[in-house]
This record gives sequence, structure tokens and C-alpha cells, in this order.
Amino acid sequence: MTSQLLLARRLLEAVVDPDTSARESDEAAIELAEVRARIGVAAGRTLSIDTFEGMEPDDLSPFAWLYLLENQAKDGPEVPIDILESLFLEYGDSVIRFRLVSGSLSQPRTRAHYADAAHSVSGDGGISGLPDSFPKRRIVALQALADEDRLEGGSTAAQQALLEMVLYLLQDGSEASLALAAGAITPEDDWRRSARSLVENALRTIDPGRQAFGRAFRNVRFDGLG
Amino acid sequence: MSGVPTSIDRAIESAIQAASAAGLAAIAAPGLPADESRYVVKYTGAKYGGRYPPGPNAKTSLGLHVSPNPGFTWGAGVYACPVAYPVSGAIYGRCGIVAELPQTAGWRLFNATDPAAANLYVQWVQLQPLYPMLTLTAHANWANHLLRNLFKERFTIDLVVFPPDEFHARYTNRLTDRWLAISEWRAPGKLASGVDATRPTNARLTVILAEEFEVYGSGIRRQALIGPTPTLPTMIPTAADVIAAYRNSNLLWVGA
Repeated sequence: MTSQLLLARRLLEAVVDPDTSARESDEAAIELAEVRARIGVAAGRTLSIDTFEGMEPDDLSPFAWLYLLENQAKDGPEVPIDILESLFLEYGDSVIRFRLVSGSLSQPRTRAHYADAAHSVSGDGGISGLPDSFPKRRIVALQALADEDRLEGGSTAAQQALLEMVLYLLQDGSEASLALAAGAITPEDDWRRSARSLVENALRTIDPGRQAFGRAFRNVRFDGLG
Repeated sequence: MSGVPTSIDRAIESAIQAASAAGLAAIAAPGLPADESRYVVKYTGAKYGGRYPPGPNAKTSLGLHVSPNPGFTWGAGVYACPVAYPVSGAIYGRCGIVAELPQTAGWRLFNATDPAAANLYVQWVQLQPLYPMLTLTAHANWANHLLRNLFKERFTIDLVVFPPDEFHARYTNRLTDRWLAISEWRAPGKLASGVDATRPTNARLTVILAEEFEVYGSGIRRQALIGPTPTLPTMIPTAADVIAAYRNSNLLWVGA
């Protein structure tokens, strides 16, 4: 557990709290900047965080976690996937959820792993060949939810959850996001149909020939796109 | 490039290229010397102003701060005013911290004071996949903040020039003043926030104002606690005064 993070958390929370005024936030930021400067943290860095080991999701507000997630140093530890998962499930607000998805994929090491990986859906038509990440685990977990749904005679929960995740990935638009979105909708299960339609409709206006933005989806079979 | 392409990307790109070609001085302080936008001033409370050299309480050299708070109009960034408008942002505190933008050539600028450009942003927002979902959130300011960040990231906008949206009528001219939101990048196309800025440099306490303000009404207006000061127009320093004081590490007192 990083003691620096815990010691500074009141200031950190004041900086990122969306309910404080802009002035209060800036004033807390000046105090935090002074702390950072006096302990020798380089400009552009958050704090000298060695590890998140031992941290619990509720040790910090979702906004403080998002701040750490979105300002990762190249050599810093990544926010654990379990924490991201817990925050995603606890907070239903689409802004928080989108930032969790987008921020997780923009962490330097995750981004590098995705850049190194083949930019295509794996041979089984899913996402198994893509590097580990929070959104990938979410998508994989939805298969179990879909199985449960099927036992109960429907497919609503998994379908809605996949639709939401694909929406976030499309909005993020990074290579990693598009690879995950393509992998998530490639298998032709019924419960993936809504998400596939969402992508298909988006591509129809953005890039029907799948030459640029839509390139990641070139192996996906859409009903209406060639 | 992150984000989603839209049918108006080309028009937005043209607007950015036009503003960038005109340059910061032309859109942030039209008709005024370039130095008046090369130097910027950010006001903060008395408790914190002294932490910026040459304040007596400064223990270290702090940079300006990249604000993450959704209360700021144009997403994550350093919020400051060109010194062309020396007390425009004074409603935020008594201490004016001046910093320099040493190099803005090549920056991608977005001129939100131009209604046509601002309207492009409004159109762009409505074409985003998340837009319908964000209109339903109870936290409208979070949604706005996110959309503006996504816009700046999508088009790698280094600086937004926008009209003041909070004011005291004697300090802030809502029609002619220009405020700035300066981006700090943590990775290509990804904004940093909540960290010290590296683009405005050498931040120093330069102006001290003999006035305090409090939020009034809806929060858009500020009320002067000491004023009205009848001779205020004669007390306000010129941009040249501020620049000279900054260069000489002097403190400039504004008030009786």
C-alpha cells in the first residue's frame, strides 16, 4: 500500500471532487502541487506511487481513482482490474463508466500491449487473443451472464451490458477499443445482436467500406453491410 | 486518433486551421501586441498566492495547475487570461499569478468566441455515440466536461479561447475579454488533468488586488465585498505594467 497516496488523499479528493467549486478545487491543487514539489515528484506526475497493493475500491472516491487511472506514469503501477470492476459495478453513471473503460485502455502499459498485439480478432472470432484488460474481462464475463439469462428464458441483462460496453468502446475509438468491440460482436450469438446492430449503424454513416475507422470490424459479418 | 469520426470533422478541422494560422495573439487579444497574450494571468486566493515566487511564503517553484474540476468551462486545462485583460479573472482571488507561454507556434487553437466555431462544437456533440446517454445523466456538468475533453482530444486542441462566463461587471468585460483553456497532454490525444502544467512556464505572483469577491445569485456573477471603488478605472494596471512587473519580479498592487 502506498502511504503517500493515503496521506495525500484528502487533498487529492478536494482537487477532483466534482461538487466543490472550481476555486476550491484549484486551491487544493496548489497545496497538492506544493507537496509534490517538495517530495520531488516530476511535473505532469500525480504522486510517487509504487504499488496499489492493499488498496480497496472504497479507499478513494471514483473520481480520485479516475484521476490516478488517467494520469498513469509510464513506469507506474496500473490500477488493479478488480478495483475497476468494482467501481464499474457500483457506479451506474455513464460518465464514470466510460472513463473507467477509456482510462483503463489508455494506461501506458495496457496501451503498449495492445499496440504490440495483432490488430485483429483472434482466430476463434472472439477476443481471446487480445491482451488482458478491464474491458476484456467485462466482455468475457458477459458470456456467463448470457448463459444465466438463457436459463431464465431471456437474454436482456447480457445484451444490455454488451450494448453499453460497445458504446463506450466505440466512443473511445482507440485501436484497443475498436479491437475489443470487434471481438465482442464477432460471435453470432443472439444476445450480441443489439451491439452488432449498433456498430453496423455507426459504420453505415462513418465508414461503410471499413477502410479507416471501421477497419477493425472487417472480419465481422453484418447483415446490411457488404 | 481517438474518438469517432463525424460528417462535420472537416469543417471543424478548417476552423482549427484558420484559428491556428491566425495565431494566439490574433484571436486571444485581437489588435493588441503579441506579448499581451504571450503572458497570462491566473488569479487565486490570498492564502495560496504567496506560494508562487516571488511571494514571501514560496518554498518551492510551483507550476500552474491543470484543473480537473467540471466547473471549468472547456474541460481539463490550465485556465488563465491573457494579460491584455489584466483583471478579467480577478473574481477568482486577490493574487494574480503571471506565467509565460513561450512557444505557441504550431499549436492547434479553437476559437470558441467565434459563434460559427462554437456551433460546430454543438453539432459535433450531438453526433457522438454517447450523447443520448449523457443527456439522461443527472450530472449534466460531468457530461459537459467529458464531451469537451473528448472534443479536445479528438482534434488535439492545444488551446481554446472562449468568452468569460462568470464575471463582475467592473472587472470583466463579457463582450471583449478572452479567457484561455490550455491543454496539457499526457500521451498523444490524451489530456492530463490534476497535475502541474508544463506549458505555461515560470509562474510568479505579480498582481495583488485590494478586493475580495463572493459568488452571487446563480454563481455566474460575483459581488465585490469592498467595492464599489469609484476610482477603479484609474487603478487597473495596463498589460505593459503587468509584463514589466513580471519580468522584474515585482509585485503590482491594484487598489488604494
